[in-house]
Amino acid sequence: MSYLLDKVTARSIVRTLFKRSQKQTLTPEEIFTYDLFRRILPERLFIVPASANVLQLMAQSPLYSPVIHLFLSHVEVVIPGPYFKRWARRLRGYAFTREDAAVLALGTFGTDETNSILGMNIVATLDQPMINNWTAREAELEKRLDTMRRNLAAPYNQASLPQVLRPEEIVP
Amino acid sequence: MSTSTLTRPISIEQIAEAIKQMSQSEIQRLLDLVPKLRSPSAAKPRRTRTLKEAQASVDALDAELMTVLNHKPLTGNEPLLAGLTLNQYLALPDEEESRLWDEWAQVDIMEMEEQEVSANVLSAR
Repeated sequence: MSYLLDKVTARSIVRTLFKRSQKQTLTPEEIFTYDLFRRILPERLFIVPASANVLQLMAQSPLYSPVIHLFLSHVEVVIPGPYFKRWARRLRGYAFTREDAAVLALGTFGTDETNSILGMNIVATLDQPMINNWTAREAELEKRLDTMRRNLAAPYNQASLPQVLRPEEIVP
Repeated sequence: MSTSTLTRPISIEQIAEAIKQMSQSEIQRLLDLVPKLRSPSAAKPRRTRTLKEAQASVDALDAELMTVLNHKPLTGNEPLLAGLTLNQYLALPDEEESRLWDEWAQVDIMEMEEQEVSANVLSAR
């Protein structure tokens, strides 16, 4: 299974790691993101390049780098594959923001460093409006992707929509 | 307190006919009003983690965290990034933290080059 953490979710996990590094109490939402991170460690966990850049900057501080590296050691950075931009542009037509469309398109046409996967099983997000819009339009999007897939060569004709879920909705 | 029951004013066939004539925006409005009309997978109630279940993971990850910190919790008084200490960073409102991440990210994924994937790729399907 592959999971893509959107920027907000990755940011929340890092925030919770910092807070627990100071023994601070977490909010319920933070507990669920922390829990998700811990539970899906055996699986493949991806972050977007923007999150990776921010974390590399934070990791330059010797005092905080062990915390950041604890997170980075468990994640990979998703890379846009062919048709990512085309699909992201189409998603914009379904009232997704530019950033939401990009992360959702990575869920379908993202790959890893060795270019050995296509898409993610699950996009984990705390963005409820994005989840609502995705849920309401999933059938339309499936049709739209199916039309696009018919004109693509293998392996891109196997591209699929990810599930888009909140951390607490991701259960074994 | 009495419970009122609506009598269906028209047949299923008439409802279906009315739906066929609806615009996309009207269908969207109908789906918002009657979520169970959506695909079975979307309408199916989803089991979610309870806070109690989640707390167990927190305890386990705490142990790993303390190991990498040599069991010395951070004070948060040292600079983290852009002149902010960790304590100042953690005190930021969500909107401000989000804005700073956008500023620090320095990458627009829509400008990144798309990488070909292997022919024997594993699809997430």
